[in-house]
Amino acid sequence: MNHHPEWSNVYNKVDVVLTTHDCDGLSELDVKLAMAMDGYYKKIAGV
Amino acid sequence: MRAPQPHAISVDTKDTTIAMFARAFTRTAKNLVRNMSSSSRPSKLTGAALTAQLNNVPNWKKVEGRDAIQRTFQFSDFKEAFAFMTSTALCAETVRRLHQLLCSSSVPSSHMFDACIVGALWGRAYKPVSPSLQLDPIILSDSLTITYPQTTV
Repeated sequence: MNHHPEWSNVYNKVDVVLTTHDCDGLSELDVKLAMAMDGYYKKIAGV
Repeated sequence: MRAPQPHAISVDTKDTTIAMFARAFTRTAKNLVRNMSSSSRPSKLTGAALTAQLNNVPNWKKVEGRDAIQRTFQFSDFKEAFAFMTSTALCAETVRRLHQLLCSSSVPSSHMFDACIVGALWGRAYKPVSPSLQLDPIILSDSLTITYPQTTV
């Protein structure tokens, strides 16, 4: 099983929710994936 | 009393050795499976550990009523949003599998996330695991390469 975000997209907006179902809460996986997504956002949107 | 025949003693020793080996093998295999399954399972963050980790992602907010974090990303157009989702999907598809594999090896699991993060920040493509699930070297930039163990599943 991989670690996938819950997300939705409408045109130029992406709404993301991260949680880890295996531990029924937040884990290090969520934080690290959030950091990676922040990095992608900075790279792509320049924000 | 009749003295034991050398042949009989030899058979007994062999049987005992095999039985000992079988028991040791079973015990080792059980421990290995137990350790792998427990170490590959992410642990829930609570209390100070959770607070400390969330400080790394200040733009993310806790979801009310759930143990989850949320952020909305806004781009200039759909193309950018899609590129973001594609990049994230590649990373998300990889991290858990790597987490499971690397937690059973000597390589710190944080390295795989570093690969995604550094790749994202530097704008360099990284090479995800191949379809055969063999862990190839992950190229982060022209000057930095992290080589993961060549492990197959």
